[in-house]
Amino acid sequence: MVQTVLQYVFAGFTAILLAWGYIDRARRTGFWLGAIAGACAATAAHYDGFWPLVAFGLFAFTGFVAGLKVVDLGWRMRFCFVTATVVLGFLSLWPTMEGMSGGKFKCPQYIRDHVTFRLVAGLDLRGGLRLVYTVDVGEAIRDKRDRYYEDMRTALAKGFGLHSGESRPTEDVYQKLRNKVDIEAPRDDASAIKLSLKDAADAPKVDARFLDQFRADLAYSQSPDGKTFSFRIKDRVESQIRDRAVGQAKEIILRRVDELGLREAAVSTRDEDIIVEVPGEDESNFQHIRDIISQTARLEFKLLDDDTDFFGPIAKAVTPETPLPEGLQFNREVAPVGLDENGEQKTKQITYAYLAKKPTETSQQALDRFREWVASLDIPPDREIGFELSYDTDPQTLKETEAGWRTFLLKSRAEVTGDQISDAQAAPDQGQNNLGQWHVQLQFTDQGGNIFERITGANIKRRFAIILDKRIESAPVIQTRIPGGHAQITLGSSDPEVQLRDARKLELVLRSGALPAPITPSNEQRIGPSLGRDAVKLGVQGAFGGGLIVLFFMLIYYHRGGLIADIAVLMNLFLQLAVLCSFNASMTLPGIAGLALTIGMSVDCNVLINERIRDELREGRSPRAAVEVGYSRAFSAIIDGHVTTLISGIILAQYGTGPIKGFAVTLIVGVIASVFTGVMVSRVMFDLWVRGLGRTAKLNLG
Amino acid sequence: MQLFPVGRIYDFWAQRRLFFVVSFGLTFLSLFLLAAGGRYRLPAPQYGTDFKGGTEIEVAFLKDTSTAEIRKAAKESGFPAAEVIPVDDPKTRNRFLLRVEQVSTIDQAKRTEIERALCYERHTADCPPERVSAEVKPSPGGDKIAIRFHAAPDLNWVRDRLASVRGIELRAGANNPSLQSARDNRVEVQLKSKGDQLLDALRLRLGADRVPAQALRVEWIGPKAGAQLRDAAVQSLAIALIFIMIYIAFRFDLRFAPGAVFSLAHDAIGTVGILILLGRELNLITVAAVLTIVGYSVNDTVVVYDRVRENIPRLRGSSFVHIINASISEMLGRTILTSSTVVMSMLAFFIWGTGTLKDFSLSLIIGVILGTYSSIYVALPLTEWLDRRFFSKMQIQKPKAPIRKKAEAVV
Repeated sequence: MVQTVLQYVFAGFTAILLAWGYIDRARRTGFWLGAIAGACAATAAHYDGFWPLVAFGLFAFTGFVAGLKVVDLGWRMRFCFVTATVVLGFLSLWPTMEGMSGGKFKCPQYIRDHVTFRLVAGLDLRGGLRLVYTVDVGEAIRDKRDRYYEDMRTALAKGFGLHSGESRPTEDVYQKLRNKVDIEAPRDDASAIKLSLKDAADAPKVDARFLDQFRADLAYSQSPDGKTFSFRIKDRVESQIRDRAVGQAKEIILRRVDELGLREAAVSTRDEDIIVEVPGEDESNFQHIRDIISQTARLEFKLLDDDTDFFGPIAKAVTPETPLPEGLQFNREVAPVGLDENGEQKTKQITYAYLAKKPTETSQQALDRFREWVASLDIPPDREIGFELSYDTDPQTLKETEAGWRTFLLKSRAEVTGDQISDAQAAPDQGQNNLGQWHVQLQFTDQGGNIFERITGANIKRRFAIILDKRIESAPVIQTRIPGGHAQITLGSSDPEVQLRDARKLELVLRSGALPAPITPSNEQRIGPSLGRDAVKLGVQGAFGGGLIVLFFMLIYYHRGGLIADIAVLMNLFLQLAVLCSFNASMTLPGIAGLALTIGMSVDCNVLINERIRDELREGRSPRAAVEVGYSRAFSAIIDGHVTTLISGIILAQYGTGPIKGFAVTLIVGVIASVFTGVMVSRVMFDLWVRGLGRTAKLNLG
Repeated sequence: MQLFPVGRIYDFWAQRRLFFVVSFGLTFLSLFLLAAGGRYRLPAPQYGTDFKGGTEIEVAFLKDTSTAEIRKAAKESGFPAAEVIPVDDPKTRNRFLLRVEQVSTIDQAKRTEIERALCYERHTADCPPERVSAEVKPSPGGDKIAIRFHAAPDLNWVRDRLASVRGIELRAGANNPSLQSARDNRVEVQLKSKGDQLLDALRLRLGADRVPAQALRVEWIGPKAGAQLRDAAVQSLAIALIFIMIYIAFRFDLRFAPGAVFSLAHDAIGTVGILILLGRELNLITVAAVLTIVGYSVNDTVVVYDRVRENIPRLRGSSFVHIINASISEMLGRTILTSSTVVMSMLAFFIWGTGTLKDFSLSLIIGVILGTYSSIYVALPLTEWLDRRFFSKMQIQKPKAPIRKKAEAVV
């Protein structure tokens, strides 16, 4: 509706400019350029391009003004520049003003839809959402235990003379080791390792040297028959792991929150809890934040064991009486299992399990059901079952729906993990058939890249799984050795929009690093402002009053020059808010400090100019000359003062974090706005005034 | 209208020695307070919850209570910097988060005493083997003790043993101490903490009909911004100082640069010092205020410098001292106007604001006054001294050489 009106308004404006330019030869350039911009604006309005419409509209206006006979061309261009800034600033601020005034200051729906950014009052002024997460410390401890478990196996393999050197033992070695000794890392006890010898005669192999390696961190006890050793992570070490896990989780959440652009969010810890406070009131925004914060983002690359047909015998043994989860079926597939002696690809037929999702349950519930059943199976040592979500595609609409889960048999050892990734980036697919698809590009660290190259080289024509937070994202076949430390993750869904969203999310969480342990939300509250509503209100009213006094004083002190200064100062405030608004910034007390400072500087700027002009007038210059010289004399002080402040702003933004950065951004914006309003805006007004005066009139600056 | 008569030159130079002593004393005292406050009966810097962590309690008041009332009651009970945050909860009204910086820390001596009472790795006569504990860990906030025993624990025994330790008190309640995990023999003891004291004090001031018997939760919270952020701020300030110095040396003259930087550091450090002297809390907001002051101070100094730079060729022949006096006098109107702008808007926050808001505006007011003062009494005297001490000979020599050359050429 509005755009139709605007479309005709601009078309009409274009026609007027064209006609006027045709009649008035001398001013044709300006009008016709304006007409071109006007036509573009009308087109933009037709296709609902809001910002192009604004830009071309302003250009059209500039062309129109350039053709008028007011003052000189330079002034007209400056005037248009100032007007354009005001219009842009107003548009940016309009929806925010409506929100802040509680709807009293109306903003048309059309603007609200197109201007998406808002200035949000920060936690201290307005309140927000408080999220409490609990770090699953048990998982971090289990992780550490698993590392001891690996070390112990390697050390034992050496002790039994099955392995030597620095490299990791192969599968065969472990197999041989298993005949001598049982090493168990129980799933239900996160800090224990049990070691039982098959033959009591081997007891001397578990000697002091072996025990010394682990004595610092593990407490151990030996059974009376000397065959079983129980190891347990010491409490001191457990506390260390706990503290480090919580500390790291806090750092990573801070980084994610920072990358989301929420500089004013606060993150703190409490025992095993992490508390995140986010300003604002927008529920959809909060949901996005929750998703990003709580994603563990643990990325692992694991090789598939396609040589073992694990589900084959199970499928054969199934009789109609066997209790199976609802929707479970066994499918067969042909899996690539490396190369034979001639370099030809070998394949093997294997069975996998598939669980269809019931229409009434979520895919997570289906996965839980599936996992429960799999846990009852007797999985070979050092193997685990991975799950991948599969989709049904509607042949008509090509819409995808989540259909169910399938299994892969994985080797438990993660070859490459997320901490060996140096960068992640969402990128569009280049291929012809999958235009509009997105994937995430990974860049490994040097070490990770080397491992990846070696692994891929040794497992050509085998499959490996990319696992994110215990779910398989994809299980591609390794075609060649992959050097250079690059890999990519393709995303499950094929809906481009979902893909882009997921890719962006994945990019952010991978780049900020994986959480050392999963976290679970434990509490969530809406909180009010920490500064106290009444105090903020009174303070703002007071500051408003104080500002008014200053403006009034300048008006008395410099008469009309003061009026110009007042307008310039108010515009500075207005522009600053508009720019901050377009950054989606949140307004906090430190932000207000930045504002107060730059308002002060803006006043300073205008006072300097007015004082100079007074000086020049006192020396008997004509009004025009006085303004001219006054501005150029004042300029050096203004520019030096602002540049030095700008320097500190830029450096604070560069090295500071969180609130310091927020303050620095406000400061930078404010300094630029202050120079603009002080030098450009007030000059436009001064020039208009003095030129209207004529040569003989007196300029009264009080 | 004119604040000060045109052409009148005030003598700012006469009192420079006095002000030098004041400035130097303030800076030195502030640095000393920051580094070694608390000793020699001097006030210590009070770091707020942002830096230090503190105690947080969540209370559902039984009747309508305003944040101002709670804040006032907390202040009267010896928690001057209590943060009071309303929680919007549709189910329970009048829910508030209260945060105070006080924590009930358990120091090493007390910790040893607790460990002895709970038979931590001790096998003495009063510690039978089934009572020996494997871990005794007080929480950082001093409100909980986590204990792990080797064998199944006897909770009554734990309670009795802890009752013998002086200075700690168990929180009343049926399940305290409580068994956290039977498999690990893990026990948790909740102690009376600052949070409970705060609640008790509130009940005393606001009445038992408003303040419930128990808080919804009492917890120790970690700092929002550790030393890391403070260090980042100091580091970036140091770098900024160097760049500002280079800029001023480039745009003005080498001898102007140290003055600007010194006055800037003087303002930042002096403000913090005065805040410590006034017993105000230092928190994230203070960091923001100090950064603002730095911005203000450098702008103010540079503007005064600009006038001096302009007056040097204009008042050729006058002494540097006269140039300085003249420049400051010319700028007086502007200086008053500008600084009063910032002070005025901050004064409102100071008068009507509470807690952090008040502290924040106070620091800005102090900083602006210091910033204005230091441009005149720190930056310029230092520049004059440098000029006299290191540059005076150069200045005398400079004009001589070309004149002689000219004379020769004529002859």
